[in-house]
Amino acid sequence: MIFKIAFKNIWRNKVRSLIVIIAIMLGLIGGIFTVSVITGMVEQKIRTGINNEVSHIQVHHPKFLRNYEPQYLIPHADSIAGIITKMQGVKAVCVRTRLTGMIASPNSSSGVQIAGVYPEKEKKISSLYKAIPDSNGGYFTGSRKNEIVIGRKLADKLKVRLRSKVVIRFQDPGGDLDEGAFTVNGIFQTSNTAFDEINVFVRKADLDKLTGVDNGIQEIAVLLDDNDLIPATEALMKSKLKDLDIQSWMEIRPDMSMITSAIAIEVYVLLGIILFALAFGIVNTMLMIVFERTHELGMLMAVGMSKIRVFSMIMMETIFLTLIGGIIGIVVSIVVIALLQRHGIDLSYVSKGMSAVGFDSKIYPFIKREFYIHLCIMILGTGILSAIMPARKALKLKPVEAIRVE
Amino acid sequence: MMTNYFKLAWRNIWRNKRRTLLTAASIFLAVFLALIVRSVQTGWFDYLIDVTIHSYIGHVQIHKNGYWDDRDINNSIELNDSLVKLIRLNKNIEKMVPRLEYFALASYGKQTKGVNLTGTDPVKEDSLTHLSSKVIKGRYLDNSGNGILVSEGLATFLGITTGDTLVLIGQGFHGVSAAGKYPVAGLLHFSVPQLDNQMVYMNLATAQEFFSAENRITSLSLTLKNPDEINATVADLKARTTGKDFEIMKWSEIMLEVEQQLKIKTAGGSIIIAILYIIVGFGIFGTVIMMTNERFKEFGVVVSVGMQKTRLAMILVLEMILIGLTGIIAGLVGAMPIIIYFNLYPLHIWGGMAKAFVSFGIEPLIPMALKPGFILSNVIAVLLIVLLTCIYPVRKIFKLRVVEALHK
Repeated sequence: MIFKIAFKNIWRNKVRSLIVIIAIMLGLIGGIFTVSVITGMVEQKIRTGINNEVSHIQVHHPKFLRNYEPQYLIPHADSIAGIITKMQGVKAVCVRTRLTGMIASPNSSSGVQIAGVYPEKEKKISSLYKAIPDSNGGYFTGSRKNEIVIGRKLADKLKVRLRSKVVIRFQDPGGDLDEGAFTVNGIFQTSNTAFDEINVFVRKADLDKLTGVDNGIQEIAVLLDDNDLIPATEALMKSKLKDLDIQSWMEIRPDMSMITSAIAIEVYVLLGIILFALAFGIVNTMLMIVFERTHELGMLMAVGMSKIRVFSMIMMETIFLTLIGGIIGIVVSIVVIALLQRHGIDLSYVSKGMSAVGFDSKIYPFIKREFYIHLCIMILGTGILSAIMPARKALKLKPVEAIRVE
Repeated sequence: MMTNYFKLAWRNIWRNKRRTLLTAASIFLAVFLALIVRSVQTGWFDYLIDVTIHSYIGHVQIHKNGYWDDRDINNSIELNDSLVKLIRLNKNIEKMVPRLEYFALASYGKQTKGVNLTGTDPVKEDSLTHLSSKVIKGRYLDNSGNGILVSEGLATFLGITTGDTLVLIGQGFHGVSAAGKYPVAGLLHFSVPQLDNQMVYMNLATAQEFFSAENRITSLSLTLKNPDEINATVADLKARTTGKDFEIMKWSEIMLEVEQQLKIKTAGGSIIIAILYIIVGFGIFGTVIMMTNERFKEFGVVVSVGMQKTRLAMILVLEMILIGLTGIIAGLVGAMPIIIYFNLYPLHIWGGMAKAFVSFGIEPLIPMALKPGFILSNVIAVLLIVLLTCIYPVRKIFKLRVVEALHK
């Protein structure tokens, strides 16, 4: 009964109710859209970070990551890789030689991380080969020996092009300094210029031929079927491979995982501000409504409507208003985001700044499902909280006085 | 005449205190929230810029033309008194830090690593980047002597500590081969791992000797007394040094990435403010509509006794402006103490966010900005919103038909 009256009351003054509904709707659409852009950017950054750079889990000698000293090899790396491959949820496994060194062209030189890889296996774990545009060569496509794949930023720094000769120098696991000339076979360009500047890839076979000895395996990279499988697989690997250092991308790249948590806070702060402003508007309007209807409310009470009912009627009206605006806002947002997801939002005019911090210039807005659930709870909470004050005002009215108010 | 309007409007708004206060409260909230949000954003960006400038760059850098694209020691310039005097002629220049930077190989025992060797003036460097505060062991550079500072990560890698002697090998000016032995005077800690793994600092004179680059520097960093006049200063410096084959770069040109990131964030911030204005705008609009409906009969009465509609509309707009100003003043009174307080005593943040800051080498502070610019623009924006909401009652007044209004 109260339910029905409250709902009908809302439509007695359509313009006023619509204004509150539209304000809630627009506020939510703006807020959800902003959140979706931020979340989309971060998700993309993490996805490309995992796919191009770190994979889900990496295995090293416990002392290796401290200074990247090449003598800390993973013993029996191939059989370990075999064990990991058989684990549940593991999509691909890859072994690498990891060396620190320098790269030099006739123009310039730079410090780099050298990865000695098996190209065909590497393609299964890292999508880096897809980051090489057709005009920039390929991923070890040539048949010549000593081919190298480098990043766009490094190529610009060294002023080298495809098929240019570069010299790499490094310390091998035996402690000797080696150097060799390599031909640039491909130039990749990821959304993370810092990565492009310091990582180069060569065939492991070429490296071993250069040093005359096997350089060993310093790193095993593991790609899983899904990000959510990390904790289980990591625990399983830790129990089976006791003497090795096993880290997920969250530990290897704390910057990436910290951005995720920082953004999660930022998103809720943003919504908090928006909902606060909305709550204020709702309280304001409802108070006005109560004052305006003093006479009517007094009459209702005089003819015997209990105070509880008056209170809950105003509560209901407020909550209805909030929910109608909230639901429309969420539905419109879902549609808008779905449409934008298809084509992405192009930010290439500012993309230099974006890729410097590892973001793509094209943003695909994205919202997690649980976010909508949290949002619905927050909206309902806002509705209830902002209903209390106007409803209490209605409660305090004295029928005798209220009736006399014009 | 005007004073009469004013009087009428003033009396009108206080006839129904409750309504006026509710409307003013909406406006208060708009001003309050917008000012706080903007102040946090602006303060944070200014802080980031400040950190960037004081981490290394300064406001302006002077190099040989083409140095920034090709950071080679052969692209160095000669530092002499006449150049210093020439630059000092610009009155906006505060500090000057000369540096000679190039790549070298550092070797200790069996370990060798490529390092970034920076020769600098110890006192001037410290006044810009507070390098001495990063010394964690040993002592800072002194003006004479060939002691060097090595970053912690690099020192751990090489297994070197204070008192040991580091061998440096490299290529000097005009391809002369460079080699030397230097005692480690102190260890430095940088929170950015990239720096921590590759920095070596020495006296400018020692570096010039090592690279056989007498009196030469690769960059001259300048800080300005008034950073807002950076464009004029750069133009002036360019005019003074025509024909010298220099490149004079602003920090924003050097740190393109930082500048563009800030642009993106500023745009994001403006969107948030816009959302706030929309929400609050509708809130104000709601109260205005109610006010119009409640007073419709009264409008009918005054028009029927001969008040011109234009005058009535003018009084109404004046009322709204007065309410608007009340709300704005209240908003300023509410927000300014907070802004001023956190401008003087920046907010320390904690938790995951603070860790993220530290990992990028930034102290986890959020200072609030106190600039007349954004305060004024927010006040104007809110006033415009208030004026916009007046359209509804003004239209109602012009469409008003006395007979209908009186029967409401």
